[in-house]
Amino acid sequence: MAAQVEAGAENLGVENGKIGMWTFLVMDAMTFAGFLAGYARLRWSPGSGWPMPYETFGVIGIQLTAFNTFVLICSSVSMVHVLAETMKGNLKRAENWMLATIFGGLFFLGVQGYEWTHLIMDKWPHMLSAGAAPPAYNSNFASTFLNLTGFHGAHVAVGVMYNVIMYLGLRRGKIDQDNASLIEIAGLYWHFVDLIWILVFTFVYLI
Amino acid sequence: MAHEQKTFLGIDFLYSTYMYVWVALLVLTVVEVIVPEPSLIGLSAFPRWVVVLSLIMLALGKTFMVAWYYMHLIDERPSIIGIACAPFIFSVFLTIGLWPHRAQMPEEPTSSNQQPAAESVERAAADGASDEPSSAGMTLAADSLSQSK
Repeated sequence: MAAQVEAGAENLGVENGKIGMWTFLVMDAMTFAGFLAGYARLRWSPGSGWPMPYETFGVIGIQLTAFNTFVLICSSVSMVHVLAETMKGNLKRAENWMLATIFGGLFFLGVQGYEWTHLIMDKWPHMLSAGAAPPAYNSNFASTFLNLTGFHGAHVAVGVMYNVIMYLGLRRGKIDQDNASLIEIAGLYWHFVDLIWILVFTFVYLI
Repeated sequence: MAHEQKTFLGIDFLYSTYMYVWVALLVLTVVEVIVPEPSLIGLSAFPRWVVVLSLIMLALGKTFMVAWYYMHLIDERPSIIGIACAPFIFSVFLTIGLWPHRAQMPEEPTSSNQQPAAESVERAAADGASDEPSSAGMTLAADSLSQSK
């Protein structure tokens, strides 16, 4: 069996790694709060000419994204199972749940790429060719949409890489029930990505 | 974390809290999709402020559930819970700071000459009022007071 990875020292009754991840997540949450507040400020200006998302994306587009939300929530719960199985010592099941989590993240990214491609080619062709007419509504709609979903998508991509590293750690026997807190910290990041998506989905697609 | 050892078809996790939270998150997501487009289940449209307020409450509720159960704030030390609350406090100040005129000027000059469609005026007014209930509510209350005098 390969040598274990140290789970890290503890201070103040909390693992240092956990404090570090929480500190990072708080900073990240504030970044998202800034983006969301800027979006809200632009949208709720007098006469902003902001379109309704339901009319712009169409009900089908919203439901595709709702399904994507479903996938992300499911991959969050499969991450919970990775931690539970690791703590119980069922490392093979933990590996399989981690694969499901990674697949969920990749599926989310794929659907988002599909959505971006179609939005830019069908709804916002002026981004591609100078001759195309921009839409009649406020162009901040497109820019805040791409900003918020793009920044979140980058987080999902990083989360998938993080989970792949954890998966390899499980496979190679470097992570087991003695240092399962490594999985817990990775899970904190992954659940945070899910949490942010709940907010972004509500504020950008639904309201 | 409590793991109950009951089994359902050989799977021992279906009865744990996590799965209830998962089901609740999925149900709330479906509700969220229906609220802005009630015609999906054959209802007529809700008033705009109902849609905005209920969506914000639903999103905050789901956020809380993920943070509380999945990110284990439920059995975390109070210091970590305090750290986790910081962005929300930050967001409140950010929101107040981004609408300074709502706090200072009760009678905002209307910019209706810039707006092409009367519908968008109504929508912008409804959006603005429901987006920031506290200060907008105070503004409206101040308006109605000054009108009644």
